[in-house]
Amino acid sequence: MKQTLKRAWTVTLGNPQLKIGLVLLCILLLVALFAPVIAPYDPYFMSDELVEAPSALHPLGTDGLGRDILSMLIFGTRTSLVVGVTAAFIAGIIGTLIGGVAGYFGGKVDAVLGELINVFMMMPTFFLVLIVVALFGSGLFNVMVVMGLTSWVSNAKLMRAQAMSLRQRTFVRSAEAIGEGRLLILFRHVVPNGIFPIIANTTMGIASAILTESSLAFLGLGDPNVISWGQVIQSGKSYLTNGWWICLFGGLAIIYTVVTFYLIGDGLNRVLSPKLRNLGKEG
Amino acid sequence: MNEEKREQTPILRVDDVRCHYPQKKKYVRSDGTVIRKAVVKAVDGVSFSIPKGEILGVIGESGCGKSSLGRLLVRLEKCTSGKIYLDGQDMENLYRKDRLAFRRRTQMVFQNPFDTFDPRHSIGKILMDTMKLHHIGANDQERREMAIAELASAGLLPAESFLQRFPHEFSGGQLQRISILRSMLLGPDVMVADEPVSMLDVSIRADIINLLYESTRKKNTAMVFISHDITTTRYISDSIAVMYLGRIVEMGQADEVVTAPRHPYTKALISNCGSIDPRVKKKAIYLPGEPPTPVDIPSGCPFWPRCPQATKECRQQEQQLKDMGGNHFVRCSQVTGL
Repeated sequence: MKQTLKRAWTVTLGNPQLKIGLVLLCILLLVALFAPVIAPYDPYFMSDELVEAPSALHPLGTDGLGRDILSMLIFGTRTSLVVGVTAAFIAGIIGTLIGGVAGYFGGKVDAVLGELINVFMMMPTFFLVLIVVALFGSGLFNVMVVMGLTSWVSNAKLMRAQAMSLRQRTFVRSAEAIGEGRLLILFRHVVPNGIFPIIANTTMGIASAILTESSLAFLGLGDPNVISWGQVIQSGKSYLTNGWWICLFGGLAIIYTVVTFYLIGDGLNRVLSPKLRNLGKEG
Repeated sequence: MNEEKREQTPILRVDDVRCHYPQKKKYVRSDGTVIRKAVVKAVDGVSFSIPKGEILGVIGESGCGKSSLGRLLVRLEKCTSGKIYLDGQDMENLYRKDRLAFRRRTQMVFQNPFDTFDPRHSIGKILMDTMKLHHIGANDQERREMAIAELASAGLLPAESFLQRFPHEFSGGQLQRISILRSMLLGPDVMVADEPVSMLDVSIRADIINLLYESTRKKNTAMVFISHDITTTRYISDSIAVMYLGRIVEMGQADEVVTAPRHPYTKALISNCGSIDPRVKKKAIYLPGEPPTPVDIPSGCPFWPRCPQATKECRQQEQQLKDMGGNHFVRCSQVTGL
């Protein structure tokens, strides 16, 4: 265990993307964690200074309702992270299960699930989310679940391919010969040995979930009770000509987070796939 | 069933077993004709039986269906047709009724020891999980002690330190020992060893063969020893079956098949095996061509295109295994039976 951690550490240091991504993520987590301490104002507090340009009092200016942009962005970090992580996590679990079952069981099960994967692949996620929001209201929870339920396709495809190749490996056959049931083999051998591309992909999924949530909020379909970056941009839309700072800093916050998760995802992808494939062989 | 008759029931009886794999692609012959619904006939009508505790060696070229046969015997693959009887009972029924109980009765040792165990599990976990699955040992402590004792008995010392180690930290020989002792832990009636030493260093092959031999003898386990190494197979086996294109072409007592082969294919196979006695210079029989693909098996005797003794009859007439007496069976028109 100690060895594994040590190895993980050296591998992380050897990959610049992962290193930078993790540092950026730490900053993001600190901001989210200590939001009430860092934020200069209550993000819901409406001051009398409407659409104030960045100044000493309001470092990033205020929006049309006189709210401090910096404080809104700091508190918005929490929303974005929660939405991104939850949606990607749901997608990761569903994708792993469906892909794993399809790839490992094969045959008719694979044929049916393969079609299901194709159907979901063609489904426009964003419009589905719009419909759900229109039907069931714009609660944050709804948005997260719907995003998770519609974006698992890439995970499922990856896991299916992994399971199909793992199924041919001797250790899966030997587990079968020793008497382990198919479900046990799936969860004990196939999923743990094939999960790495899913981990990398899920990290990327966090980024796209954050983008989707921001887009929804931008269209005015976000949860109005929760401050999010998309909402900040939406509130700045009508002040684009005389209040550029509202949209700009909101946008920058989104870009920062998306880049962070893409760096980590890409780094993990590079680090996990070739190295761990050798683990079974020498050294 | 009375006592005497029980004695005679073979522990494993294979009755006209076939294993066909339908192909997705069509197969084009070299003369341009096309087989639309191509089927790979990996095992095509194999019958034999093994008495309790005996060892049957199966030899043949690669691709002749030896490994497929092995997988059928432990029900990793389903027979397309035919039946396998374990101690007189239909294997398919046994498997359906109680999978775990069935797995305890037939076990398999695989060709590639480096990939036999999950790379993410320690050897201790692998052994203890197996015991837990089959309800061997009352608690984890007891299972741990059993695992240590088993490792020690296979010469893996100090056994305690092996428990925490992972498969990639072992040599192929060590892994194959662990594989054998894990299978024997379940006390199987039938053990299938699918080329258990072909991926190991020559220097440790004998050890592994001896371990297999002794542990199966100790528990009176019958074994099917699949190999393309004739010398090793002769050493370990009571009887030998020679396979060609999914069929058994010759079967008999190990020594008899090796020293006095009757089928032209067996003769050629054995004449090309140099190491039986280095002082004896034998003339190797050269077989033209390669074995045909199992998709497109020649009509009649499948060996005729390469057989030095083939006649016109061989091309048309399919042959059956003929009893030569003394439990020796040959499938050839040129060899006359009793």
